[in-house]
Amino acid sequence: MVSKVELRNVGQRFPSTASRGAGTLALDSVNLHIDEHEIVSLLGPSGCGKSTILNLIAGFATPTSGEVLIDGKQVGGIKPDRLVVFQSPTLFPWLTVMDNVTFGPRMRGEAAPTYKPLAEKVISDVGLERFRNHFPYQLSGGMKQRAQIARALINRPEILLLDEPFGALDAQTRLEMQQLLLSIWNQYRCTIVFITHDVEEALFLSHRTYILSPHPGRVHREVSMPFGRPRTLALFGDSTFSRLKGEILTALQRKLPHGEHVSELVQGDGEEKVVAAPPLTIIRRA
Amino acid sequence: MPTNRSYRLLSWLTWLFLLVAWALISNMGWVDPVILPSPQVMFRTAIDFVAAGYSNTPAWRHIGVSVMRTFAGLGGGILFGIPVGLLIGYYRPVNAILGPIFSFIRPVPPIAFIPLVILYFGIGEFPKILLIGIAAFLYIVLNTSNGVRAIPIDLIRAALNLGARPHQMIARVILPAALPQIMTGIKTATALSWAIVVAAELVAAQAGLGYMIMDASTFFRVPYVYLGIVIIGVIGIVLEWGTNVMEHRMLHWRGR
Ligand SMILES: Nc1ncnc2c1ncn2[C@@H]1O[C@H](COP(=O)(O)OP(=O)(O)O)[C@@H](O)[C@H]1O
Ligand SMILES: [Mg+2]
Repeated sequence: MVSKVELRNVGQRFPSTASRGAGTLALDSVNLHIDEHEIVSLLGPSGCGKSTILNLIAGFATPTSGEVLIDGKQVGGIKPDRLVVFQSPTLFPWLTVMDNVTFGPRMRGEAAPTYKPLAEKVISDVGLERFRNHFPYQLSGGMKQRAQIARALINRPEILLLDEPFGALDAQTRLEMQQLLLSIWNQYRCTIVFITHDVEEALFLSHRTYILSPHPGRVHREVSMPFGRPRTLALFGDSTFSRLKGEILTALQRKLPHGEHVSELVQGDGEEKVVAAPPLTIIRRA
Repeated sequence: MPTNRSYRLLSWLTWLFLLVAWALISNMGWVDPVILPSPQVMFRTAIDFVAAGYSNTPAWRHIGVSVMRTFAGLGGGILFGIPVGLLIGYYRPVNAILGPIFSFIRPVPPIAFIPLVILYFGIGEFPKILLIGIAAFLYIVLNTSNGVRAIPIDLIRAALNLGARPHQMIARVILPAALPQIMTGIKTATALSWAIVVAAELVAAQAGLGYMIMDASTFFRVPYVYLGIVIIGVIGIVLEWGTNVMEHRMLHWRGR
């Protein structure tokens, strides 16, 4: 089966600002795939190329080498079926929540009777019913991200691309937003690419996580989250959860060179096995 | 503890002090009354001006002519300046083509063009309005294009991502997003236009506040010079207040 999103040997080099430099190699032969309806996290320290990958999937940029495929076909520009939720507040500050949410359908010339009911639905799905006529400056950080999610959902995107969407929120709000995202996924089942530098966030939300390493940005490891759904807060007390967290943190800290064997990181109890296939080392429930 | 009210009182006291000093100096004959008329003389001059105007032209016409020239030039500058600024700011090729022209003209003080526009278009209404229009246009182009370039890339990407087409990007995203800086440009341009209209009328006009103070000083009707300056100042304050109100109305969402 063809993956929803696939990156094949993707490299991205940015020209240096200095006149004659080799530039920055932001991504170096990145291979990854995301299946339909899957939640996949890209996890790594800042500067390791997470946003660069997201921009390629969104169509904001084209790679200098390799291929970015959506449904097996090369990315063809920017489309509302792949929508980005940004960390920075990108709501239009001169529009109310309602007008922000209906921006997509309005730009595409859809008729109000078509999108109005949908707008009411997505606004209530993110819990902003009472704020539909508020302006962004009247919303808290968490509510702004709720509005951004609603603004994306109304377009029925097949792929939702979230770039550290909860990174600027306090711990309590972040947890609420993570739960909200899970309930949104439950209902809409879009494919989700979730960028984060928070290990617990990646563990709690995703089916799989790609751990990236910096300079140049590469896929360091791929980890599957062997947890059922729906996921609840009880997961944070789970022993496998804690162990995976420890392993990932160690992996992130060691910044192992590309392709190095990492089996010593796994203190397997028989439940997981290491599929040692560098450059990807996959931990799976047997 | 001093309160806001006591500070305001202090400001009023400044005015009172200046008025008393002025009355004293002029009435005691410490300064030649031709150069510094007394408050009574100024008061009478103001009444005369309202009743009879200045040199066979009614007061409202002197004021109205200056204000209309300003608004005509300013309006033209805004009307053309905003679209040009948006295009220069949003499309890099347009910036590459037009940028050099603007960076050459902009540093030239607009009043330096007065002799040239008189040479080209005479001393009618058009050259004055044109002069103001050019000055306003340059400022608004500058502020608009800077405002566009300051829009966060993510905001533009979000709009493109949601399916906005180029004309919608310009009208529905770029324009409102740059509006705070466009308003700054309009405020500067308004103050500048008011300065230029007076300068232009000093040189070549048959009516207007600039004409009035120039003519009055030529014929030593010094009270009218002072009166003209005061009216110009008051209208300047009103214009500033008006643009501030407009800014707050339109940009209630700004900076919060
Ligand atoms: N437009 C750009 N021009 C030049 N360098 C860039 C650009 N975008 C990103 N980079 C560089 O590429 C690397 C990866 O950036 P990014 O994808 O933003 O990382 P992350 O999102 O993981 O923090 C960084 O070293 C960054 O400086
Ligand atoms: Mg980033």
